Amino acid sequence: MNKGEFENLKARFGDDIATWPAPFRQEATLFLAAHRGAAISDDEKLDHLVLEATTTPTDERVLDRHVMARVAKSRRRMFGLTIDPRSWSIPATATSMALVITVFAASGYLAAGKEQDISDDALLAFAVGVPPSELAATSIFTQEKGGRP
Amino acid sequence: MSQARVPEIARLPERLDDEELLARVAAGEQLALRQLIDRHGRGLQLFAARYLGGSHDAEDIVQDVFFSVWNNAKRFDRAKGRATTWIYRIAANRCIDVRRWRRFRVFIGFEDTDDVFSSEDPQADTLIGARQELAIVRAGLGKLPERQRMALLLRAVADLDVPAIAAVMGTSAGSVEQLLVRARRTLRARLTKVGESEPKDERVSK
Repeated sequence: MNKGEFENLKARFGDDIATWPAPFRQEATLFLAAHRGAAISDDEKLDHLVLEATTTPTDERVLDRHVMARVAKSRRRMFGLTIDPRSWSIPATATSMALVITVFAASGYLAAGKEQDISDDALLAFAVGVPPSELAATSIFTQEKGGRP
Repeated sequence: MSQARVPEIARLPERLDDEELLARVAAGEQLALRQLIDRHGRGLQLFAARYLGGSHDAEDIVQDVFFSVWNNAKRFDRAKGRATTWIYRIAANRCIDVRRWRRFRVFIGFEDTDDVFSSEDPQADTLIGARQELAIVRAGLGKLPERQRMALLLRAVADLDVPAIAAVMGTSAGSVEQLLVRARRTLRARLTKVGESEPKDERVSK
């Protein structure tokens, strides 16, 4: 930082450096400390080195323009109900996935339901220890006595 | 060159602190948001750029941060902390998300590790090129563990104190102190190592 930059920042943020935002505040403090020959701690020295090492050109005006454009766009969308395909992609994907899962679950349930009696017979035959064909003849559950059809 | 075409940021007639600006943003005053961008845009960009190891995504992240500030300013509670802490917390969370997303892209093979975690930043390299110690610190920052790097950047760039850094990172003050001590120790060790090896190299070359 040089004197010109320091004066510009003073005009931008006021005379009280303590109220300046970071990292301008630290840069100004370092600039003033260098001028006064004031001593700073080792940690502060290293922190200033880190700050200097991170320095890269930035332009707040470009950032401002981009952010304000997004704010304006969001307002237009709110009042004008703009349909943005990108905003629909996540709900659309979620709905299709739910639909696919429901269809699979329903068809699985139906398919399993049809074979339920057969599996019951097979299980009973296995439990009794006779082949399923013999079980049909010896079954105590008949339709007349309230057995399942 | 492009800077000349961009108009100056409009300012409020009076100087307000960050908390008052946020209150006005919550009330829908765009000029207050622009004032916040003017005050914190640079700090947030430097923080994001160095945390992520380059300025590629930094501007997008900072745009997201201010857009989020615009949408969520009503949620800011003055009693819970300072406005700066709140804004940097949004930025830190966004940076962590981007970092995770990059790692996932590398994991599934969408991007190359070298492209994603590259710390190349030609503009910054030109700026610090003349001073070797800055180049060492910059390279050292890139090699620090992520939490140490975040803590140190929040201290050095955002000028937050230990309790504020703890609030941003969602951890305890003691833990932040540990992170800062370790990060500074590592950077000092790198600076000392290069300082010691330099005269030896000169002797060899002579």
